Amino acid sequence: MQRFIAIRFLQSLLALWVMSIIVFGLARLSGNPLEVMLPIEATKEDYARLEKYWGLDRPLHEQYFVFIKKALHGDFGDSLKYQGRSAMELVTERLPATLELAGFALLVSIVVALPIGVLAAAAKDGKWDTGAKIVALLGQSLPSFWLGIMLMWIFAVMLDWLPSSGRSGWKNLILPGITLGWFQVAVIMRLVRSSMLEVMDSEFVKLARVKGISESKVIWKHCLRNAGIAPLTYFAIIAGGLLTGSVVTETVFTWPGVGLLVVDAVRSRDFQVVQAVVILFAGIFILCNLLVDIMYAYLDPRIRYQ
Amino acid sequence: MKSKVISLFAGLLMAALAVLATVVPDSIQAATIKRLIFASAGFHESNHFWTISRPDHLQFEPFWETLVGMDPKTGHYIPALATKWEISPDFKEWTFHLRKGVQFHNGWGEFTSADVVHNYALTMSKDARMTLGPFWRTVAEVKPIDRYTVKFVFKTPALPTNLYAFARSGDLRMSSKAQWDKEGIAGLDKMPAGTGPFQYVSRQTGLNIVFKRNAKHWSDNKVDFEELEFRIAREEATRLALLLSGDAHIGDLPRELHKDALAKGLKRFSSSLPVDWISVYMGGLWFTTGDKSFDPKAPFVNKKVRQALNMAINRKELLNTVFAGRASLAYVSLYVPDSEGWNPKWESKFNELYAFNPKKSRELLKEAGYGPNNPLKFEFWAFTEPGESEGPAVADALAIYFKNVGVDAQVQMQDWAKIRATYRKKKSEKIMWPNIIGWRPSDIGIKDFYSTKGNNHHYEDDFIEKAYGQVAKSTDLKERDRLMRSIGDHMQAEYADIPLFWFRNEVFASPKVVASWVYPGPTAGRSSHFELVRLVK
Repeated sequence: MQRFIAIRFLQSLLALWVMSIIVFGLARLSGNPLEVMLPIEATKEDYARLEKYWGLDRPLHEQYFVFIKKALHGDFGDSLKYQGRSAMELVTERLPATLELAGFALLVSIVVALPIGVLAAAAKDGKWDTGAKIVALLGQSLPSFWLGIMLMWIFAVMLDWLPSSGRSGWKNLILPGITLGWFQVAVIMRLVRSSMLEVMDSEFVKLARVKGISESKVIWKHCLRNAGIAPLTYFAIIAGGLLTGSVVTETVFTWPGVGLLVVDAVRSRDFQVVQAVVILFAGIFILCNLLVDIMYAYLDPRIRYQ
Repeated sequence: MKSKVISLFAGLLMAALAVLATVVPDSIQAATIKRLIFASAGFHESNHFWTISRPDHLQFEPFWETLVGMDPKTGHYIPALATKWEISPDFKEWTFHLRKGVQFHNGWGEFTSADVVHNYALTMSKDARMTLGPFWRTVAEVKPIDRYTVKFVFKTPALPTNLYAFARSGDLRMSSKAQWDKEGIAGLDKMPAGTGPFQYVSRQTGLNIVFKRNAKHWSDNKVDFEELEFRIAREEATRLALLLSGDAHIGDLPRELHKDALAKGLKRFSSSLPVDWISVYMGGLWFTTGDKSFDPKAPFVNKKVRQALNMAINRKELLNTVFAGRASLAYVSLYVPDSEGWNPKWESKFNELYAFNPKKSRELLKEAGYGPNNPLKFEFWAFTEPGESEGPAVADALAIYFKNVGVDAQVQMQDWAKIRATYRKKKSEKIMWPNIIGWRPSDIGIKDFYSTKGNNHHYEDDFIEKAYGQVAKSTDLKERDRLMRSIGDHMQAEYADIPLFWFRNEVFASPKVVASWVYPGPTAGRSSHFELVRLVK
């Protein structure tokens, strides 16, 4: 088991290193930040002075080694846009807002998706199942920016029940939380439904029914407990999706999280911030996958011997 | 059956939204408020004013003042932190007499000449990238004559048009030296002291910046509200929702949403003066003798082609469709009637040289060697930036006009950085691009865009090079005016670009909250003079 964890850990580090090269390269391919940051009055001397000041005049491989050396110590350099502030400081300042939103969105998606998925499986091809399919269809086909604007329009502008944007209290969390969680509702609901259908067809469920246990107890206690394993293992992907999906939702609702920060950073070619965010998110993804792998190996010994 | 259910559900949803969209919300009918919230498309959030370009000085408008003010109605330069100023006959020494008794916020003491010297020094920082940096570097020395008098000594003559750099249209902000000496840059980041009608309270990056009224401001003006907040909302629909829901009271909206905003009951407030112009630029026009980048085979080098493209456009139609009639014709790019060198004859000349005439346009193209079997082809690069959303619509419209005269203009959406790098490096021979540019004195504009002294290379030739060279040296205002007029005449006659329109800055507000607001427009932040927003009583 220890050898398995060690190999997986090294593979994760390798993935992170490859990711650092990709994000570093793509950021540079997107163009010179000075073309965005300097006013049109800027002279050739201004370009030369700031290229030197920011180290952009150095060869790419040198820039990469400086970046990776600092990154190993958790320092992603100073933001080009927010002078005097480190990229990591900006990211950690915004991270709580993103985690708060992603956490709430996850809660929304579980609370909505779980009962619908169970009911859809219990009444296969019935009204609940049809309703669930519509929810799944809408959940996976409505783009979050459209859904967000519609929710904002109805609940903030027309009904005046909720604030339209910003982050000043729990009410601000509702609309972006639903927008972000909506896509995952469809994913979780479909997973629960299919998993429930599989479990409901198994021998122990038939036995429970033969023994005269009530149908609701069979479904909500015996079936759901067993059917929950598959969606749970999918958790890493869902968590990652919620974090990265926050880019659009945060922009629409002006939610001051990492997503909004990275949109601004990409727009202004703030390499350091883009690199910090992408590597942080990639790290979270890789860590979640590593934990799931380890969990799998723990639960199923065949995996660690393969 | 399933598809019917889905169709029914979707139909109901759309119908509900359509009904809701016609209702004017009650929430915009708010009462008198304590905090005025301005919904902004956002800005480069930082208190390091020497690293911030002009439009993003919006965030400094309420609390950091400039030496010279701007009349909100006429745009004329008026006393602010300086009560008067003198310029030496050789235009090399500018002396400012400072207002006495002006206090910095939070008890940081009186504003004096030492503060002017300090703030000028910040513009010379290694990381400085302010809009007027090239101008500030022409200053040889800033001398404090006494506590309330300061002199700027220039390396070369700085003509009176440069007063805009010291005014609210410029970027030299007056922060407190005393605070800097005691707290350093950390103090500036956390709680910067200014002298303005509002004082800084807090900033949450990505979300907002909050100010409170400065009851001890040196002016007699009484601000109608206690607090001012700039709420950042990058998304245009979000800003409209903020205004309609009453979560914000006044704000920036892109021109395509103006009609919706008016229909929903919001009130429009226009700046007193034009702020930006839009022109379309043609690459490869580098006619200056000896320019190695010049390619005589580039499509726009032929003057007849440039004239044909200009005459293919129905500007009146374009104005009424893409810009909803809210702009005025630009006869020569960058010049307005107040500009040095303005020629009142340009209007009639424009009608003669540029008027919509597709037939004449086709003839000119034929004379230039283009026809149905050999159409003129080029790429038309468009982009969008916050506050400049019309570029793609203009490109699409112009491509249709060009197609009508047999020109094949391929519209491509590009990143602004790529467009800028392409024309700055003189690699733009085969492309055309629209751009919205902010007001500036005409001589500065000529230097920036039409002279080899600038870095934009929109159009360059020996005539402009020579005339601008004389302008830059001349201290005779009449002669300068003549030279600047000759440059404008030349640009118009040579079809140096495709001038389109001038716009005013326009913001929208709840009519139940905001009664009036007069502001000039060509200030560094475009929206300015928030202290003059009058609320409904």
